[in-house]
Amino acid sequence: MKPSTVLGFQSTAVNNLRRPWQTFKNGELWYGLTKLGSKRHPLTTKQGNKNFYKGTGSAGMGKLDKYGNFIVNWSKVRTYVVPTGLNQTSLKPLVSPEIPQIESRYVGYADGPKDVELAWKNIKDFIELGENYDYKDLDKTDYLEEFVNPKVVVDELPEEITK
Amino acid sequence: MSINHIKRRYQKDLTKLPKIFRNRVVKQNNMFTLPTFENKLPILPKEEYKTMTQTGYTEGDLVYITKGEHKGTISTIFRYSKEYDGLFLSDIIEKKIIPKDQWFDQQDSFLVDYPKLIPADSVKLAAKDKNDKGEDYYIVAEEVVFKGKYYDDRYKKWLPRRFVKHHEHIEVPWPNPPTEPKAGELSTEGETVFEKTWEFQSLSVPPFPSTIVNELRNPYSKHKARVLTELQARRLNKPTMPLSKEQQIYLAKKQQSETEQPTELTEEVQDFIGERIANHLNSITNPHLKAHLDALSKNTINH
Amino acid sequence: MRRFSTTTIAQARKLRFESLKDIKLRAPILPTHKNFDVSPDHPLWQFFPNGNESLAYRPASELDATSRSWTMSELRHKSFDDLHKLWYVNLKERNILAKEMWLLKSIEQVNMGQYDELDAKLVLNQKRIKQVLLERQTSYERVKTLDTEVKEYLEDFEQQYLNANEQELLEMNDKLVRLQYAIFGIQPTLSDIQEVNEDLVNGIGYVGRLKSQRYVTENPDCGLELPLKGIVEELPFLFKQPSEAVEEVLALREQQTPMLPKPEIFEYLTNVLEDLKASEIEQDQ
Repeated sequence: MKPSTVLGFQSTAVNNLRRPWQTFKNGELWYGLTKLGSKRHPLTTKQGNKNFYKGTGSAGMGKLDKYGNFIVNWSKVRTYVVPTGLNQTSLKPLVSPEIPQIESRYVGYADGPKDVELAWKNIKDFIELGENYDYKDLDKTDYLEEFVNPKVVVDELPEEITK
Repeated sequence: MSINHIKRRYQKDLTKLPKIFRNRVVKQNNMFTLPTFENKLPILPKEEYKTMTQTGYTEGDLVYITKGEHKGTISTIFRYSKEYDGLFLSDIIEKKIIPKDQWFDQQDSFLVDYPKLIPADSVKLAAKDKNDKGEDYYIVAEEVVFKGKYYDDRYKKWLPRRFVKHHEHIEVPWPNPPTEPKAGELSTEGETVFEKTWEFQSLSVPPFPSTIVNELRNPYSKHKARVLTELQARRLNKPTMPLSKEQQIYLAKKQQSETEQPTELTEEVQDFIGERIANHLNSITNPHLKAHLDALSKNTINH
Repeated sequence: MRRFSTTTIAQARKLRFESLKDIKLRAPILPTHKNFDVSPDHPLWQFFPNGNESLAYRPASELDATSRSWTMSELRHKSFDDLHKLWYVNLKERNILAKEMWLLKSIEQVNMGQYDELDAKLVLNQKRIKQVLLERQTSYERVKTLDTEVKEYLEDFEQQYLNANEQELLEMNDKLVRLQYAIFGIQPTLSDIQEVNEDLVNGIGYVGRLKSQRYVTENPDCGLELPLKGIVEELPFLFKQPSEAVEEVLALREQQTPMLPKPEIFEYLTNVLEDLKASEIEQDQ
């Protein structure tokens, strides 16, 4: 028996054009849906002249030398520092809805949590009292966390805040 | 970013179109949709979404309809739609025709009861109370005012107290939330949430390695308040034209005249003016005019 | 048209069959997922919510819609390491969601509202973590500008320390250790000190002066003449008892070691600290 030529294993361009499974002409386009189309679109990296270069805006991690080799600039290469113990933490992405939300109030501090006076006060308290200088029993205060500037006299606070 | 964020860049954003174009686009969209699925209320942009404390009501609250077909009815809120700023009330239902291929399971007829989407403008907060005799009566609040905060264990957070505007002794308490909160797969439990692992201790130890600062804070941010240096300010502002000689002379003269203080009226002049006014007033015969002038003279100007 | 070159033909191995009868055909192994052996620990399983046992995607009803994002108050209590872990935990969950959304866009016409809502909560978490870290950084940067207040405080502390009686001295020493850390960044244990910077030098100077002054007022006969000359004489007071430190300083003075010029201070400190750490490790062993 004469062995058949194994054309399928050599899918060259010429073979594909010949399309041995379809020997009749039925007018079907070789590729695409239409021969016509709009040309008024921005060029992609796959089009244009041999001198046309279009980058993708991706990170420039190095440079091409004159021989065409890409020299990596390792200081530009991104590294991601993943923390250890991700599988052992009990921290999860969200919080249970049964847990009460704390209300934080910054009384007498113009910048709230970023205030300088608050930060300096915290440092002094740490020196005087040690760790956990700021311990607040949230159960007793109904989950209210108040940071009151010692310069503020309590009697002068407006009604709303003392409620 | 997720695939939905990417898709939205190529979708038409109705909230950013001017109103005229928006109506046109909505009309075109509704041309080929069934009346059942027509969008009658406009979509709000994300910045205009309202929270509980901004609308003044929440799921489970009583509400009074002030406009439209169901004017005068009081019903409970079943759901608030923040995208459409509309409410689904438990009593106000309309029948909708749904094609067979969009029937849900167990549906056996084309007509389905659907809650009607009512715009939030046509709705006001209502409350039920018992009067002295023990009969139920309703209060409708024109506007709601928030005063004071308290911890609500049902909602597990601090909420403001609501009062009826202009009748601020009437408090409308927040309703019971529709569902009890249940922990899901992604939630951390109590102890881990409240565990304190950091406090501000040193002004010499940075909170995180200094090499990371530029990853968290954009040093080239265009949104930062920029301050011009003196040189830049001088370059950007036009220089003042030097004054000509005539202008200088004029200004000098003006200054001199300004320094002349206005003199007070002398006694002679005062007497003269007083005499003339007195003569005029005494010569008035009309009693009504006299009474009017008397009343006027008693007016005092409050500074 | 590709032709085999003669060399490739030569290099090609000839197929050999011993005898055709020994070949036993078996059923083809279909390329389905059930026929693949994948370890349950394969890192790509991290893209699935339950790893090995999960389905391709979670239907919208199975998503966690009740849980809420972390609030700023809760995040402000967490250390940098905790926040770092939280960020990555959020990121992993967002990756899982992104994979599900990508699958769903091609599989069925489904309402993505629930997925978007969950993703929005996770994005909010990440933004809040970033905000908390930046708040701390601005606080830290602003506090560093309070030069006059810090100076005043240090002077007050010095007065208190020098005038404290023996009972109060223990407390004051504890406070001093905390003050070292709070204002100069000097870690309480030697092995934790990593960086040598200006703050460390100033701190050592302050502590040295304080302790030496106190010792001299208590024991005027020790023979130590204040002020201490430079970092070489101030360093012993940091980790040693004042009496031992004074002995060392007196020994240094007998050797007439010159005062270190400023450019050499950092090098000296790094070397001395390394030596001290090494000796500590030896002692432990």
